[in-house]
Amino acid sequence: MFSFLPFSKKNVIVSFEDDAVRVIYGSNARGALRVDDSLTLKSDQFDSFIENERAKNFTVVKHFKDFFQETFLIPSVKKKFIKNLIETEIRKKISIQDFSYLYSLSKEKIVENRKMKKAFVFVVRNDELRDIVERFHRHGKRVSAIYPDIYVQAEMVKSCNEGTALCVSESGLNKNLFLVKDGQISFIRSLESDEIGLNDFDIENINMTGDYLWQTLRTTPSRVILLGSVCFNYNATKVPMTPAASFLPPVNIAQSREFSLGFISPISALFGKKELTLLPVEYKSLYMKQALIVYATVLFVLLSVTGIGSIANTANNIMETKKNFRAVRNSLPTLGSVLNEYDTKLSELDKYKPEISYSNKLSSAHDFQKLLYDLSSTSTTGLGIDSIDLNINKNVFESIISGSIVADNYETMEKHYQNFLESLNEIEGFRVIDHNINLERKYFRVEGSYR
Amino acid sequence: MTDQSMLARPLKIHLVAGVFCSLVFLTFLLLEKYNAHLESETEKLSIVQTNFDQMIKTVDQIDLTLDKVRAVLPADYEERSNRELMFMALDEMRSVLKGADIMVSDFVENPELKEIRIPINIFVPLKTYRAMLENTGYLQSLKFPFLTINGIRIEKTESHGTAYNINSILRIPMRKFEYQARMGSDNEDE
Repeated sequence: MFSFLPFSKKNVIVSFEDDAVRVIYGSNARGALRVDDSLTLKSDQFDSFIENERAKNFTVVKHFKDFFQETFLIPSVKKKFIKNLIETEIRKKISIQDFSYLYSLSKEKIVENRKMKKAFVFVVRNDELRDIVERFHRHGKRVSAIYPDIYVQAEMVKSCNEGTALCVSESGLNKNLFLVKDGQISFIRSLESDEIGLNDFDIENINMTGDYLWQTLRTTPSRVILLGSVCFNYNATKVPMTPAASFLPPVNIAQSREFSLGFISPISALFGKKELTLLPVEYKSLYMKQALIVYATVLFVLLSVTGIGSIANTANNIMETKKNFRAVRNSLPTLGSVLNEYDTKLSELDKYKPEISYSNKLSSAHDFQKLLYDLSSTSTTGLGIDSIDLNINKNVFESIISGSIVADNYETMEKHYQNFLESLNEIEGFRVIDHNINLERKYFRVEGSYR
Repeated sequence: MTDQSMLARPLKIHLVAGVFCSLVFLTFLLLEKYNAHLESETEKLSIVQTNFDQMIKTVDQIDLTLDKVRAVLPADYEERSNRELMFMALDEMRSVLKGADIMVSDFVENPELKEIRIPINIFVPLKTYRAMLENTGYLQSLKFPFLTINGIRIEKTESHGTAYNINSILRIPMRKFEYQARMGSDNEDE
């Protein structure tokens, strides 16, 4: 349904040949030609066929009676300018403005000191092409490609033969003579005959065409190739001046040789290339739009699928998060009771705040008991303590200790006194600031600080 | 079938697919937003839970503090006035410091320090150094009212032999209502 390219693997090829319509179901996968089914219809049966056919895309081969061919020289220019040049030349030479065309270019050659190329064009009215496409569109079908029968036949012949060949095929009573040179069609002649197959009149025409080719194109075909039904309807007594041979399509088909020759046009369409289609640009554009819409739709579908996957994932996450949320919420104690208890305790604590802060402030008060205890451990041998004065000044203990020394001599007196001073200094935090001793009165006085 | 009609059906499908895709992504975005909101709320709730745990711990700590405070406060602290408590403390001091001469000055109220104080001078004949240490420790351990010792002088006297003199202040914090009342009356005076 979505394929708009002319070379899908499985093709339904419809060949319009005078009053007959031949249809084949075939494929050309990697060069392996295959025809699975075929049928021949009368022209008036075609609409009911197309109506009932399940395939959506069709390849069309058509024998164009009304076409224009011309050979002319164009300057050797860049590839992108060639189409414009050729179109301009065609418009100069024919009166129709709405057309589709195929062209082939010869090798470059010097003409009047200019590099030139010989162009051969095959032009068909777009009206005729539209009639074909619309006939399919009416039934909701699409045309992937429209091939002129001689072009696909030439393509098929090219695949098996080298050199210059004059090909002869027929479509109804029409005989098609076309020259395949260097793999390209460089001349076409379509002649009305009085019967199916080849007779003497047709042989004469072939010989005359050979002469004409020599006179005008300076080319002589090395052989005459008979294509399709002309191979088995040879009723002539005369023989062509150029050696003639029948061409058998290289197709893997179950049907007979006669079948492959009779269905030569649709079979040759399996060799069709993108460059050989005459499908008007408007339809290519239409199919391109369709394809873009389809691809965009597919993209939307893919995005939707991805989105749905993401939604499922997010939904899963939400379930998990909700579960966590409930777990946390359930683990919370009753808000009111905790808050009430907290407030009650806080207000109770607040009531005792002055006492607490007061108690904290005074708990760091100076410890007289400890200092007195520490002083009791000092060495007082030979000393008589008269007074101990302990006061607080700027958060530091100031102490004044005075007394008398009992000793027989100065040396002993000094010894006792020094022992006392040393023991004072050994008290942690105590520092002797000043001291004096009166030897006459045997009296001492020590000032110290304690933190 | 016209060109337009050939495009119409794919366009309709395209439109439906586009709308569906938009709805899917809108739903996805809404769900993502909801999930983010839910995660944020769960996080907030976790913080609330942590705060609750903290509150419960704080309540326990307050209980401990209150127990300690109540253990320190006299049993009838609530019922008695500060003056009563101070007098009771003085009486107790007299009974503990046997033979001590306790000289008491007038009450001084200090709203700025939020306390009521009585300067006290304690004169105690020294029986033993150990007894003095115990008495000093007793005085320092007084709570509500507290006794702050400013200085101690130990000396030999003619009348009592060796004695020690403790210069101190008996102090108790003003009750909250007392302090508020005092501050209120001061403001009125002003």
